[in-house]
Amino acid sequence: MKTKAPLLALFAVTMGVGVYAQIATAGPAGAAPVASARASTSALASGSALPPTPAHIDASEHVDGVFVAPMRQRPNAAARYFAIVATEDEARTIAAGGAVDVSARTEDTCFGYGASTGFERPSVTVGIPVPGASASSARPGGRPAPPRPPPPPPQMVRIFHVVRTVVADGHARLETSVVWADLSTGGSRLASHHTQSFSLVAHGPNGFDVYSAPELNGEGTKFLVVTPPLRDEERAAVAQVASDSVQATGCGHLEVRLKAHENGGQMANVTGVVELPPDPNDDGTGAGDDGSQSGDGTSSAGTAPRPRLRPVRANLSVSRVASDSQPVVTVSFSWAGPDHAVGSVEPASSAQRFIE
Amino acid sequence: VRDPAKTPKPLAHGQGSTVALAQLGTKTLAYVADEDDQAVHVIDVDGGEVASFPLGARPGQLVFDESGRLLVAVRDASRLSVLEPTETGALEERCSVATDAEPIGLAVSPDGSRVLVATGWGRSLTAFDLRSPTFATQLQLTLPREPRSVLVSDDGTKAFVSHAVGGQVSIVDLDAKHVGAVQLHALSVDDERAARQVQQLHVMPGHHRPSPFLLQGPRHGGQGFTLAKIAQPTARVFVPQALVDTGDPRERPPGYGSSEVDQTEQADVAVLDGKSGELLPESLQPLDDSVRRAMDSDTEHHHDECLLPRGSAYEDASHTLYVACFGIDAVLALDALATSPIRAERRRWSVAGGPSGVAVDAAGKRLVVWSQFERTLSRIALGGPDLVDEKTQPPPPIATVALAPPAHPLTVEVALGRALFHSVGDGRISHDGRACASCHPDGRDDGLTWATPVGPRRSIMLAGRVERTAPFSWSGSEHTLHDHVIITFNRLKGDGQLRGLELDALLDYVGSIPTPPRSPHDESDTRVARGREIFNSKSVGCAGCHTGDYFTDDERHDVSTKDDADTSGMFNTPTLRFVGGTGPYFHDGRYDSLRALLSDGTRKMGDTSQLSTDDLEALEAYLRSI
Repeated sequence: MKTKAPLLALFAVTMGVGVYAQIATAGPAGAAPVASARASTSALASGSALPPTPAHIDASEHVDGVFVAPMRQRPNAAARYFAIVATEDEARTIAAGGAVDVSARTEDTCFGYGASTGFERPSVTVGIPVPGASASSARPGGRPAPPRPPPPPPQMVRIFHVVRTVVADGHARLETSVVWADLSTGGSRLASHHTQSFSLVAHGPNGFDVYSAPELNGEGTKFLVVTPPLRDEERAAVAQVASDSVQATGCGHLEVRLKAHENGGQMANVTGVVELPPDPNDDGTGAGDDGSQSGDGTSSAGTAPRPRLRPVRANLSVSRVASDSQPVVTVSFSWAGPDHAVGSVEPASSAQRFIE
Repeated sequence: VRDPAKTPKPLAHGQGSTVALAQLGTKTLAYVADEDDQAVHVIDVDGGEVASFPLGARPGQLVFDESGRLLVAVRDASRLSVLEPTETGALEERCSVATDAEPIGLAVSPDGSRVLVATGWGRSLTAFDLRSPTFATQLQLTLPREPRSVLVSDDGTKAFVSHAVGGQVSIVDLDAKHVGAVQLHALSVDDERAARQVQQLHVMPGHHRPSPFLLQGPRHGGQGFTLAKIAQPTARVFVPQALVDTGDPRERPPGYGSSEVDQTEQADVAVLDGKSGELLPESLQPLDDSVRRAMDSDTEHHHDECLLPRGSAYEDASHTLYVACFGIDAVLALDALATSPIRAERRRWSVAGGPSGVAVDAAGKRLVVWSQFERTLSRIALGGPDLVDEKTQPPPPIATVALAPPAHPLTVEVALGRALFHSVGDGRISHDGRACASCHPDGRDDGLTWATPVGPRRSIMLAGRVERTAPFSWSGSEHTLHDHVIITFNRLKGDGQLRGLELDALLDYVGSIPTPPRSPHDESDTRVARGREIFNSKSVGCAGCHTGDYFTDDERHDVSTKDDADTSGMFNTPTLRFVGGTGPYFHDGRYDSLRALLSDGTRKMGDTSQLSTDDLEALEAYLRSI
């Protein structure tokens, strides 16, 4: 049956290894979207038409969840480095030369360079060249270098995007803000903001969940794969999209966009890591099924059974054979490898390895 | 008169397999086609063997019709046996019907009015009227090489036929009696697109990588032994297969196939529209193994792909496609609704060796798998839909029913050799997972021309062609089969550790692979007799080199067929046994058909230029009969 209602998502929410749904085709032009991208919550311009970059942002101007932290410098370093992090505490830690434990964050916030989304990380780092730090004063042969024009002053106002995932009641909200940050003052200013809502499509193991939202043209579907928090591990995930490309994230979510034109389809295989309860047969000696020992190479005999980490994969697909009136959307899960006790030698996060 | 209330009730009818289920009271009975015992066994899935019906020849598939009769393709006897279960579940034969040579695939039309029989060696699709007392022939059509499975679209208008070689599915319009085909080859990607991807690599190091899959050459489909379909929520036909990169035949790589890729064969499930038959092109893009390796932390997961799919079944409740795989002896559970189901593997189970058929017991929430090599029935509880952590929620063990040894069992050596021949991922044989059966399905040939260190080479049919045909290989450079196999393993980059008793066992099996049955019509065909005369005539000159019972003089000749990539123009005279079913022809596959070969006017290898069309047809008919 060909549904004329515009963009009605018929997703079934199922706890299990597989779920499918069909999405109605796009309705007539001008029809109001349902369950699609909501309008920006801000009156500011969208990312594609940003106002000009400001030359300076005062320290008193600040966007929630965006903190500029000057990093400790080595003497005579060629560049000064700044980190963009999510909390004031993190900024203080960075400034003091420490490392941020992103697994301690209560919110899934990530940063990316530029205004376009993709490739977000829990924090980003920017290097600003130190004028004259790497200049050579002499040339081979002893002749003095000709005088150079002074370099332009470094651009201290940089543009980033901040992505925050909020999950509640079978829905996920992806809030994306484009922000200018002035590295010299620490001030920040919102350039644009928009929110995308997703509905839960399928529960994977232990909070490895998949949400989706149809795209406006009716051919595509956006998936949001949310990975559960891990103790002492980055919530990395990697997606092989179709056979074209690989997407990766070090954050707790990964957004994948798939399209299915008539007699076509796309797939993505998203691999992440979930935590599992201790193996009931784990005697606490630290020797797992694979014979591995604890991370420092020593035996941990007598310790309590350890939770396990195991890579899991979500297989996302949108397809439409010629006789389908609507694209068929399906999500299934599978294990992507064996489990490992937390702290064992073998890194459980294959996704991280892939990113590296 | 049979009382339907007291006899087994089929749990499904329509799709042929080597295992079919029926309910008899509280018992679930499995009817299995046992090649080794040349019989159909009746097995209580929760108990043991109930009865056995000897066929006297190897069976192919079996299927229930809507009236509860069990139709069995008796492969080696070229007949369709019609059996009827009794009140105990045992079978009685009602009649049998002659078919073309080597019936294998069976399907009953949705309205129950006819059974379609796909013959392997006979290359035909025949429809028999199930409501006629004589099983009158309604339809007979010629198909491409090596049909294996057949299914009928839900509206009854189309038949889909898979082929063990050739990388295609025949789509037969049953009303118009027309045979079409869908090619299942994965195309190469144009240079521009590849270049774009390489550019991306530099733009986003560490994040965007070109998939090696896209940088490879075209891949040929093959191993189409089984078919499955779904009707709801979308009409699709599934063709489990392997995609093969044979390399560029203009080059001389160090082994068989491209030296640029480390994964010569990839498992795949092609998806067709169940109504129109159109291919979903993206289903021919399996996840590249190198990407999978990078994404998986399971480093032992290599070379466990389903390169030899042999059975399949679909389960409505979870939209799962189950594929039984030789070589890895496993059943895969795939998301049937995925664009590329092979990329959406939910889980897999190890089963007894040689799983040739799988059936779903929906009410019992279990799979029933028939493993031919170990003659074992496996019962797998499907459990719930959740992805289970086996350590905290151990699944019930797989229950098995092993049959008693047959009256005339295979020798231990042949049984071992068969397992080795089909072994996927055996590093002693190949470095990339290929099995002997990858290029020699059913001991025949894959119909492909491979790039090799000595030039382009067509795979050679083994069944019935290795005894008394020395020397071996197209070049005729090996005087024993043993030496030839060792060289083959070297070219496949096997580690050379398969030797001694195991290598002997492999050779024993190769020498015992069942040959295709002869067409029952050949002996009485006057054209065959005329063709024999022509073949032996001095003016045509075929028998000058293709002489004796094995149609070879065991010599090497230069017949001016040297290809640019060939290291030599001297070629071993190949035996012509079973030549009719082994095209394309010549060492480089330059002729698509026997007729094309016979019509060539080069006169370098016999002279057929003076033959009339009738005589050419007669010569071709004779060649097809030998």
